[in-house]
Amino acid sequence: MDKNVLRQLIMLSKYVAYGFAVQLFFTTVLMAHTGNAQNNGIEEITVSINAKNEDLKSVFRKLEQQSQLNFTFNSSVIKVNNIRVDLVEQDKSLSDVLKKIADQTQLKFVRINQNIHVSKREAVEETVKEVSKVADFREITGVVIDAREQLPLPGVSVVLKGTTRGVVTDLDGKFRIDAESGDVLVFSFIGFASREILIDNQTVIDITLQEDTQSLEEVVVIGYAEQRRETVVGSVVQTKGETLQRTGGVSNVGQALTGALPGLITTASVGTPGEEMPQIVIRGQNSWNGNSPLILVDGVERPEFFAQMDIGSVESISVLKDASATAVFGSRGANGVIIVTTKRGLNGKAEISANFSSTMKSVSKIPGKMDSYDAIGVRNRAIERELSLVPNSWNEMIPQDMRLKYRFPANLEEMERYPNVNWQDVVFKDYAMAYNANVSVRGGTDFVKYFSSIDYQHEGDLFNQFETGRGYQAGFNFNRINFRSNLDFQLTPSTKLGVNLGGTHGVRQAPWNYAFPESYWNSAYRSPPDVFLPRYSDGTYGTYIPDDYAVTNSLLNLAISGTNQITSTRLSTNFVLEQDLGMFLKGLNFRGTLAVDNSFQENNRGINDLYNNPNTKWINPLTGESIYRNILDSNTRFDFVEAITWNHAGGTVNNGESQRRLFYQMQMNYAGSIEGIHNYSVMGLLSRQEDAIGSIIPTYREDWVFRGTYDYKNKYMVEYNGAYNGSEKFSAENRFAFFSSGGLGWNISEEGFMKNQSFVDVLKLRASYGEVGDDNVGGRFLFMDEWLFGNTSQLGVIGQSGENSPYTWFRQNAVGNPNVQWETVYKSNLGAEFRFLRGLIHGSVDYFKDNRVDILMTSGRSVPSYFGTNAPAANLGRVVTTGYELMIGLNRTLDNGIRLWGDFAMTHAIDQVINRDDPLLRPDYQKQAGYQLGQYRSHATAGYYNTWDELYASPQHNVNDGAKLPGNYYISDFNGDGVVDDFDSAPYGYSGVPQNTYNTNLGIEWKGLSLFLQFYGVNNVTRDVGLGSLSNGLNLVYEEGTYWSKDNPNADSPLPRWRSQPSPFNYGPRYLFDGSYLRLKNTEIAYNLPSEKVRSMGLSNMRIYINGNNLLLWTKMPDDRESNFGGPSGQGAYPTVRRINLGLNVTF
Amino acid sequence: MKIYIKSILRGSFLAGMLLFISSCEDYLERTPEAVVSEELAFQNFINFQGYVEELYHCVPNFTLSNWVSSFNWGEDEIESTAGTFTTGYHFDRGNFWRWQVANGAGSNGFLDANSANTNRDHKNKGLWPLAWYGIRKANIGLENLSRLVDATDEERQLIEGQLLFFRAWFHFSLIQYFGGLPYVDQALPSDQQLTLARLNYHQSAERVAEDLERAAELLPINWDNTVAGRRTLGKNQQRINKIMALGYLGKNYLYAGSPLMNSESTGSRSYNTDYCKKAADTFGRLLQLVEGGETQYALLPFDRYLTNFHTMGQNWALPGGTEAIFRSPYYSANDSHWRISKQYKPTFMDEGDPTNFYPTANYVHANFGMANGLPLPVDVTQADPESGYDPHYPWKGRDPRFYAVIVYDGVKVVQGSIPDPNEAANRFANLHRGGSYREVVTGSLSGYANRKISPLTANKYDRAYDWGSSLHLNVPYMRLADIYLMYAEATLMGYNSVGATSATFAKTPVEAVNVIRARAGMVDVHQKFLGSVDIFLKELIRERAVELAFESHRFNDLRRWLLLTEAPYNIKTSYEFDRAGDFNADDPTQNRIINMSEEVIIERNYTSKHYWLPLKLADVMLYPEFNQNPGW
Repeated sequence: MDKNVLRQLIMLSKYVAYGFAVQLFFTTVLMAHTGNAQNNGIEEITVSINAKNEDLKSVFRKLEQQSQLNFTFNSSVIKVNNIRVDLVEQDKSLSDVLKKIADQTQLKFVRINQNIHVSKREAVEETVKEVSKVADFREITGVVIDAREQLPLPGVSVVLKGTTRGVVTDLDGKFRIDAESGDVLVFSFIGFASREILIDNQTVIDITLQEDTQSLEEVVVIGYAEQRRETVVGSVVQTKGETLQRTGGVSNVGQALTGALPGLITTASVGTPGEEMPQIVIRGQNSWNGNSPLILVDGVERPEFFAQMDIGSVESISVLKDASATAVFGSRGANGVIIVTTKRGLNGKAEISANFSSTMKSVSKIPGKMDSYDAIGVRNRAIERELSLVPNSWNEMIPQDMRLKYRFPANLEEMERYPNVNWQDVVFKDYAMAYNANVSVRGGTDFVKYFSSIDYQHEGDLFNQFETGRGYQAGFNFNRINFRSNLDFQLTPSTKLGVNLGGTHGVRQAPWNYAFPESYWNSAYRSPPDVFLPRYSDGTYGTYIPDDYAVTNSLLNLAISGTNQITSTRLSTNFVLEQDLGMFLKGLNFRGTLAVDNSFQENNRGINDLYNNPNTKWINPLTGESIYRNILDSNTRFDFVEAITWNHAGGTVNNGESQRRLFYQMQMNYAGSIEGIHNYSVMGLLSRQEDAIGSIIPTYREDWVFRGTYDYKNKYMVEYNGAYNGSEKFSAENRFAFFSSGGLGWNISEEGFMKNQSFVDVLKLRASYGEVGDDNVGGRFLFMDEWLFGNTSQLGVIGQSGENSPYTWFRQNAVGNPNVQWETVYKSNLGAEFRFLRGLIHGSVDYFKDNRVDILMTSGRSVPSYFGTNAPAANLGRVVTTGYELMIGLNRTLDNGIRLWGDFAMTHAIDQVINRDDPLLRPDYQKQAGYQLGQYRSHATAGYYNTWDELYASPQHNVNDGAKLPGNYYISDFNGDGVVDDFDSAPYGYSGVPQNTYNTNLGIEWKGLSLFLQFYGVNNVTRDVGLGSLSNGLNLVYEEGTYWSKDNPNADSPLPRWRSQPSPFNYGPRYLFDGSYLRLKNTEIAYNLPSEKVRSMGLSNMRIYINGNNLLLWTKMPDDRESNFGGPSGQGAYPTVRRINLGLNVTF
Repeated sequence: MKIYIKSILRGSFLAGMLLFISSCEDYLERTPEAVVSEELAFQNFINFQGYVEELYHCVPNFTLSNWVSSFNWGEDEIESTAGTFTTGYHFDRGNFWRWQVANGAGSNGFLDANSANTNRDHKNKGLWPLAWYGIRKANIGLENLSRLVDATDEERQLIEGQLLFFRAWFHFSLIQYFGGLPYVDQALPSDQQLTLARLNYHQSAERVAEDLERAAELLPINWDNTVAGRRTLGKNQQRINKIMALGYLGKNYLYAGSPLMNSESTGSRSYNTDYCKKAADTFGRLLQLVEGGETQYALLPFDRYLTNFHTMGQNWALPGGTEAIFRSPYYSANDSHWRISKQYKPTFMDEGDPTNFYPTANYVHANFGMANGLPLPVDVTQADPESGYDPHYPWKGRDPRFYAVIVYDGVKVVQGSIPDPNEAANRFANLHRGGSYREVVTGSLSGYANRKISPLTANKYDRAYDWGSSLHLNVPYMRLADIYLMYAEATLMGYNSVGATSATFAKTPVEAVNVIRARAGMVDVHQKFLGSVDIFLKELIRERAVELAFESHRFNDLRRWLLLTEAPYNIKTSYEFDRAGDFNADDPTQNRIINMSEEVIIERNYTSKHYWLPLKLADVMLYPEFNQNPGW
């Protein structure tokens, strides 16, 4: 049954796609339609109406239907929804009816041609008037001026109301249109309040448009709806696509979000082309089961699309943080919600805009290493120092003559025998390029509105390219094409259908065998400078024969890596049907959403060059002897040129990445108002989602949601949300749970006593509290035991892989816990928003607390080993996260036209584990409880042992005590039991998630020129970067500052050891770094070309910009990574990058 | 106002209706489509045997536990300078925490792993997690025996016998390292606080014995002779049988009767005669069956002695032949190619890891005596007229097993050609002072090398480790020679006489030892050592050291004998000497050496706490009754 439905849906979506393609051709042509000329006077038109306490809007609609005339009015002046009339008229003239309405409402009606213009009536005035019935076209001209800057506004759409006939102002803001008296001209422009001008007999209309900051911010996307900013009681922040586009050349939305929204914390760690998505948490961490927020793209959970979205198609991104905002997402919203809304069509002429940019990327920062000579110096010192422990090491001293050869080789032979390699230069080039091109078209008619875009992104590779003689170029890169088309059809006056199609097609090139990705960059981090040359003059590659496992030749690895084209294609479709059910009940509407997503991945296309190792060699520096591996011709030992032995591979479907999703949602909204004073709305919805990856049994999810809101005169707001969530993880009894939340708001600035205060524009207080359920934990049917059937034992005694037993295993794979239930987060939020002095100062403050109880534990439980298997999941934990967010902004336009603006935002979030099933006998300072999640712990140091006396007087180490030497850290006996052991490890530093993040934007604009700077920083964070020098008997020494010696007791670091092994805690917190940083995250200089120039090129706007990302970094960390995901610290990762981006944006 | 309320109610009602109409209760009620029911697992022999057989994969293969595998932690072996990460290196320095993954073991060593992996990866297996997993699995099986309706009595016995054996074997494997532990004999509930207290060693061993005794009753000597076993005829060598059960039952008793275990439970630092008698009688039963020709087991002839540990060119046959009693399964015989076959020679010889393992000079000198049955003198730089030992020709006239197992200076390692004349010198084991095999990072620290586990030809010239040679390395857990020697020890100490026999087998301890020596072409135990129980015991200890050298027994033997912390068992030495005279390439025993000295490489500063390994902190911090071993 389900499969049938699914198949039909897929077929349906195919048809729609075809239909869409056809439609696309037509929608770009605006089809003007002239209404049937209505020649009868309003006295001659008879109408009947039966309206009891009905609002004007529906009265007008009824009259329009009977009269074929249109009512026009400015809805911001005349609130037709709120004005109510009583009318019972049978076969009366329209004129009379209008008079009756005028009597009840203080309105006047002017009929001009087929329009009846409605406006407010001044004292004594004719209530109903018929101006003209005669079509009398004449040319109207005028200029549209930006009210604030007093500059002409180009691109303003000027449309005859009720028609699709219109023009756009030119670069000087001028327009020219044919109209007749009684027509209404609608002037509209994004970001400005639109104005309607009734044409009487004027021929010149010069008007000013007011910037409507309110209108941009006014509507905030919240869960399943939009709300006016002023009535939102939840903690919601929102940013626009345009803002995100300032980020210099980054290719994914996640990176662009850094610093854009208070409360959202990003952590970046890798720079692999196509995989640069940072980790995102909202308001810090609150659970050990992951803190990833729910990411919705156009209303459907689509994190994988989000990761590959182009910034150009983003209209807005909302971040929902507190209970009243997130509760409606039920179980998925506990970690906050990110709602991405894509751009949609707008009424008006097609606007085509194109953007091209090219980006230069360079390695940001990787750890510094000493050259051969210096490293050998440290080695010799280390050997000398530990002679008492390992006398044998004396044989490993490198004599000074030999050491000098590394720095000053006399000839090529010596250079090869005594290498000195700067691996960073070998592995990475100075810069790589990235390119982006984006074209979009946007427009619409009354029937259909459209937005289409296509975006191409190329990310180049930082790895050096060189001639391998293999006939292919290995390395990384990424190419992506995204397309999107969003259509809105007004099927009937009350029915709207939205169709979104989004797709992304990415081809990522990586080495063929990507199982050990670190081997390609490892040399830059970990290869000693003196072991071998990456490639010798005879064409052989270097390898470290004595320990080829410990030393990587990344150049060699890359040269023979083959290539793997990994193609990911994702298609997302949304069908949204909105039906106004005003015919049954005014204010009622239905909204149904159906989403079908599919992702496919093909990999293993490319060149399989596995196991074709070329000739490698190592020159033993002691003897000068060359030792070869993989000699091709062992007789001549001369033939270093390999035949091409690699294979082309045709690609296979990567089942594990195939993903499909079916989501549907039915939503009823009911909203209304009593006399414009009591505004209320009710929403109920049911959504279901089915997800499957690869060949798993699909996962299912079901949420029922209810929301009611009420406000009194926009002054006092109350909201209640209820969510009834189901999860397959829990037994039938615990499967569904009900979670409620609510909020209160008070718009102080709407109060009468504040109205007169001129300096306060907006002042609002809001509070929310509620519970949100969460089942975000690994494992599926947690409530039941899971048994598996499969595999056999190898019980044979012959053959390479032996013989399998014929008996197939049965095994209990997981122990279930029938009592597991929802974990619940109690979220509270207190907030204030303000804007003072006509927008000069604006900002907000939020205080929040997330109290998460019954946290599921699936691992790390305090269950003895002898239980014999993983303990089942149980609700055992509790974490409380508290914090605040602060945002303050300034915005000032000077008299000379220079606009200055800036804002500062900070987020402080600190979590504390209250309970995490700590073992009873563990000392408190080692318990999880009482500390942050991921709190680092370390043995503490009290300086160095500077003398043997100090060393002997120091506490004993429980292991390898005999290997202590002066010049090592004095490790404190934290618990005072006389011996340093595991129990002396105590909390140190912070966790890996910063407690504070800071963001500052500064901008200046003047005429067409703008400059923008963004600083982003974090502090109270710790990161481990385990870069041990001289390990494995290799001359690898990192730049660690000064080393301890008798003469330098205040050194930066103890001297590393050569062969002796002190206790594992001997280095104390040496490799735990303060993870704070401050970076110049983004900066941009942009210039809008003067209008004359642009016009001469036939464009309406042209903007040139240069921006940079991650230009400057201040930190104590040895590399530029904010976290160790994407590669352990000691092995490094594909380095993060710095970007400089040059771009051009044109609009036609 | 009423109207408003009405319409609000109507709106809510309609919205509510929508939800009710569209709701269907069972959207989330998904019975997983691939659900495997528990009942199925136990319904017949085929399924139940499938259930049981995962237990075989719970036995870690210590020979192949990582790239290099350190499993000899007595004073018998020393790793090359590079091997600072090995279990042996850290155990030498008293850091016994190092067996734990949490304390840096990584995948080095077979005692611990991140989790209980029953897959086919040698490197991911650890005894600690696997034993507890196996015990739970055995318990679930035993609790569900009643569900096995569709089976013959014989089949039911096979199932129960295997389950009991494994439950006991895992417990025994743990208590030998950790001392008494709780004996888990039920599938523990997941919804209760678990607070089982540690038993003492004897209590634990009693429970082990109970299970093994019963298993021995239930199991056949050879599955090939059972109806159920005929399904896998000829492929039953690894399946648990009566001999394995008896072997471990005896070993369990012998351990319980050994000084360390006896002192843990009774305070007495001597052998416990009761347990030794039980051990002797159990081993006697086993040997009686073997010598009566009722089993498939027999000692391998000496010319095939090393096939106990490695086979070559035999289609990857699992080493052990008729002598091995209990071995772990193997998954890829060629796994040893990647490192283990290359861990006994300097790296320039075999392209392996720089970490290599070499016999210590003290071990070779103290145990591998002369062919006439007498040991070397305590000071090996001095001549010993009685034994005929000549310090200038120390390789002459030694126990045949010395030549079979130990690489000494001058032994011809490379059999084939060496293309590069510069490397020709490496054909011979240059183990003298400054010799190439003494290379500082990867070479021998001690002056000896090992050829028991990996053959000489596993070098980069002869390339015995290449695929074509089908070289398969595996050290058995238990082999018949061990049974003879344990029988000798148990009988000697249980019946307290050199000439006594057990109640079940007619050989005296001396005769049992001589069986093993005779197989090696070695003379009988010298008359000199038959004077008293104590004197013979010392000779027996030496015999074990020779026969079972480098097979992972020494560490536990030293522990149970309470010798681990005692001199001279706490030092590791090297033998330093120069060659003199002409080098005899054909017969290295004819080579003369001078300037000999035995040097201490490391002294192991152990205290009594080192007799038991420390338990995991994660376990001992849960409740007081599961306490840490003393001193840790």
